Amino acid sequence: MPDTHSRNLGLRNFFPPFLLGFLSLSIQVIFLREFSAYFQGNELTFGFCLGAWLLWVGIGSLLGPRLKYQTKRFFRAYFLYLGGTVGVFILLRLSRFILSLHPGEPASLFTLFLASLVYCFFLGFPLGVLFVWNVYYLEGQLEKVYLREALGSFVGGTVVYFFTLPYLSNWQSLTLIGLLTCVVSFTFWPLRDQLWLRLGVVALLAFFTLGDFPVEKLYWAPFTLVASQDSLYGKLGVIASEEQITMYSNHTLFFSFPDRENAEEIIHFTLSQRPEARHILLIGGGLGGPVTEILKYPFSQVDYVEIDPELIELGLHYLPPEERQSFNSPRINLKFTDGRAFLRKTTNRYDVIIVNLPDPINAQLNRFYTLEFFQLIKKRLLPGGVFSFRVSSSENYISTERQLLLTSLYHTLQQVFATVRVVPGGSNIYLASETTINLKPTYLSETFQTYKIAPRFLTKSYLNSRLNPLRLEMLSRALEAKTSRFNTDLTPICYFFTALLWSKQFSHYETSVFSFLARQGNWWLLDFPLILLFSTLLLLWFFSRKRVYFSLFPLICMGFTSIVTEIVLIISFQAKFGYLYHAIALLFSTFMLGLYLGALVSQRISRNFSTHLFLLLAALIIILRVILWILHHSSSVLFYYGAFLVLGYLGGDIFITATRLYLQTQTHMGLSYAFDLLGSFAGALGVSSLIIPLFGLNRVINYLIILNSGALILLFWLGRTRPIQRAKFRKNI
Amino acid sequence: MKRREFLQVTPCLTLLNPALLPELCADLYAFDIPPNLSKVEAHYYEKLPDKEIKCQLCPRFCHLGDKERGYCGVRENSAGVYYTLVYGKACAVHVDPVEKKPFFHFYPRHQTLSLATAGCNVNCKFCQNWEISQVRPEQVQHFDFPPRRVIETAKKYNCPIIAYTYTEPVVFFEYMVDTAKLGRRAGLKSVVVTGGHINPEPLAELIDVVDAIKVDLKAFTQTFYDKYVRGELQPVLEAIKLIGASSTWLEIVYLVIPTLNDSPEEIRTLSRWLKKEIGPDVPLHFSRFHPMYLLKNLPPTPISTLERARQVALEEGLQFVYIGNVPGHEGENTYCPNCGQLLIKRWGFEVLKISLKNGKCPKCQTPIPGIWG
Repeated sequence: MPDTHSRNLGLRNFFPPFLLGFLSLSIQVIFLREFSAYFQGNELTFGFCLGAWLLWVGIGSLLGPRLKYQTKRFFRAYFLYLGGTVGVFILLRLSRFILSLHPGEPASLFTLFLASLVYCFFLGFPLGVLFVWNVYYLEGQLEKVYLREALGSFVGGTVVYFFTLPYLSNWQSLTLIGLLTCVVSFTFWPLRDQLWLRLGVVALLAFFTLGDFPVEKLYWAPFTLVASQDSLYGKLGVIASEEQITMYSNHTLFFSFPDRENAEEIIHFTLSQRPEARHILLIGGGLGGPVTEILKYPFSQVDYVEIDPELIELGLHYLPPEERQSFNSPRINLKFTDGRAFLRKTTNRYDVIIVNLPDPINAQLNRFYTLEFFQLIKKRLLPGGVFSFRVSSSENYISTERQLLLTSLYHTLQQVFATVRVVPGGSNIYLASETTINLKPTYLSETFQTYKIAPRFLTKSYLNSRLNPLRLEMLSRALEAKTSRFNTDLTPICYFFTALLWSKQFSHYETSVFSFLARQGNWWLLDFPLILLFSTLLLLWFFSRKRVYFSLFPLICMGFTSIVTEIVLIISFQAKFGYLYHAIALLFSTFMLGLYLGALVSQRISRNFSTHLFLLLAALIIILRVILWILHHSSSVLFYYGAFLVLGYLGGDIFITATRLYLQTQTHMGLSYAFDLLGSFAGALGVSSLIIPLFGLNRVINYLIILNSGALILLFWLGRTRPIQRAKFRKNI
Repeated sequence: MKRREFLQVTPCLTLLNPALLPELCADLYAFDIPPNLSKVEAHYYEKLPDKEIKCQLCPRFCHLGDKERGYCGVRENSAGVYYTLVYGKACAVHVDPVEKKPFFHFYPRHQTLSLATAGCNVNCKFCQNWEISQVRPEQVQHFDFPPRRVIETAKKYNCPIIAYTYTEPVVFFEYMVDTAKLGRRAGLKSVVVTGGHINPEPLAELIDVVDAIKVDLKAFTQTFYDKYVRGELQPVLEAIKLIGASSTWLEIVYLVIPTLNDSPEEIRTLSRWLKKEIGPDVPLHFSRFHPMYLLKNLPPTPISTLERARQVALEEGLQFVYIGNVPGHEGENTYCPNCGQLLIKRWGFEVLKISLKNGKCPKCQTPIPGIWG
């Protein structure tokens, strides 16, 4: 574009692309949280949803040039988008009615996939179109649109992470974002123009935020929802059915009171091993009985670590006074932090450590079931100490998929502890120690009697049935099966196994797809796609030599690489330092800041674009090598922030440079953006749910290095061809 | 050299690819299940032209072409002959107290050898054993466990009772009937835990060879059966009537799921029906629901709901109404319907005290229905 255009740009031209980035990122963050809350957040949910979002934005920017552009229509689109977003959020909350599901009933994988495609169409597609329209609005200055959009994303992300989500619910956050958009729109859209539409959107937002609790109540009907609030870590809800109080986090049952069986099994199998334990650490799940059960042991002093203070506050508010009283005991020491972060920092050592968390359904929870975590536990145990955790299981039969999960956990634990015993039943309780563990029903009953525990469920007959020789044999046969798949921080295989088991609930076709993919190994999942990709590019090169395709190839690589590396780094960060909301939010903000800085610097560079792109890709390969080192050796958070910043920087710079290279010959204003997003889509969809748990973080980064090396070689060839005269900008009006 | 090995040693790729190592996933499925299905001709089916058949075992009446399987997934039409694929192919075998089934009026304090094969003819959203009931037999790890071995194992573990349970025993009808017959000859009792989806003719045969049947009545409305069970209520009621009229011992379990089947009106209608059709002395258990399978995020049943249900059933004249899955609750005990004397004190699966004398109340001599051993 001629430079005269950029000199004329003022505030009026600054805000539309800025607002696009602002809306796009803030709504994405809020939507992902909301979607995970209603569709059982695991890596698949996250992957499908983010993938569908990126796909639709990509398609939107591809098709954007085909839609007729008008400035008024362009302005109006922002408001219609806000209205549409409100509709999608309401629809999402009520989707269980559309899908004929019961409150809290999990949707099948296929439903999940369809739902994410449908919802993200309304949220993502308009954003893609708006990107292209912004380019038209700025007379073809794609780089400037990208730059301002990146800045908007940075600001949007920062506002949402640090200023709205810690204080407001998801719906309230969206309302605030919408109102801010309305206010900012006055800078570029005259007040009188279509005022009714804009007032209508404001009114809609007001009703929307007022409807937060009533619509959530509707979701839970016919149950009585007595409280609902969005904490940093999830959507909390309390259901009261007569005297039964049930608390939910992201619509997954967190605890129900009274539920003695649940509380007794997690505490008494473990504490009966060391009934005179003085120092006990409980990580998660203390509400609804477990803490009360621990206090039955005469000498126990408990450190109870829970990540979410709001969860405890809300739970205690609704529990009956006698249960609340346990938490007032001076023997209970509540600590609000991530369990793993606590263990890393504490110098205390314990007689007993109990982890009472949900199954390893995602990478975040899987951190509490890895080899490294077990090693950390061992360091914090006193001599003769006992460690235990619980995993959902099946009382009468262990299926192949469940066996994969249980066996992996068993063998991983065996790597660290000399004695590992597992209690069969609807939940399997894993007990580990350096000394003995006694699970004889007579021993357990006698211990309960000696210490006056008086369990309601764990009676002699119950124990005899649960620890019956046939049940023990069934379980030990299943556990002894050979497997070399240990669950580690760097290869978090267990959350894949949990996903496999989860898929089995719905249709065996879904499980078959998973099993099929898992059986293929690295040749079909990693090597073959890479070889196919490069062979296709080589063939294209030999037969067509259309340079345009090759200038955009680094964009797909970059989109793919940056999203996958972000996921890898976040998984590693959480494993090392804990799931610390503000730290992780800051990591994303750092990435976006990097993106903006990259785009900003890139605009000022006027050297040969091919050479510059070549250097950037080389830098990307180096940073990937550094990340490999960080995964293994770094114990400082600064390295992670640095990696995110550099990764963002390279992303921004590569986008602008590749786009400029592409625009030398082509005029499609959305194609480069679409390529970037389609690369990200591919990364989001398969990598976090399948490739990472199956092959591990290391291998994923190694393959990214190969991918980018390939892109580098292609660029090297490109650099040896002469640039063609740049085409003229054409606006579709 | 294999293709993969070739690629791994190709110098240019090796240079580029530090990640190329032997594949990691091959060992993931070390637990594959070799297909080992039975091929024993099924009872109760009608041969139709063109190698088609119509299954007469359960109210689904599956009409099947060649190579097709019934809804249960364990019975297959092969060239016009209908076969059961799970005869002697048990996938779960355990020792449980009879109170766990639950049977409260049948040989208290006795152990059962409980067994199941894969498959079920309904699809309950709250199934406890969905990993075996909602799959085909080739998808589970099963083993050869012919009737003769069942009897041997029961004796080995001192179980005087064989229980056909966990999944729906109706789908392994032939295996169950043969085992029960053999067991009876060996002095073992047989009990069946069923949803009651069975046609009258096979049920009559079953009644003749087993000693007790517990029917899981899932609800008392067809709407619930449509939505959460995918089955029919009426055939279940017919089955209950048939068992009630026979000499085989019958107990009914009603799993109370909050808001879905817990209304006092529904409980009242059910109790009236039971009293009218079977009599006041049929034991009825109201069990506490625990979140399971697809309903894993529902709250457990409040104990007061169970108490209310019990109260309604007692008001309607049923004499033995129990509360299940709430150890220590007075609703677990058996009281004399005449004088209110505590006859059997229970705590969960444990029988703490039996005061019955020759099946009668020691205080007022009222006979208490049941098979007391």
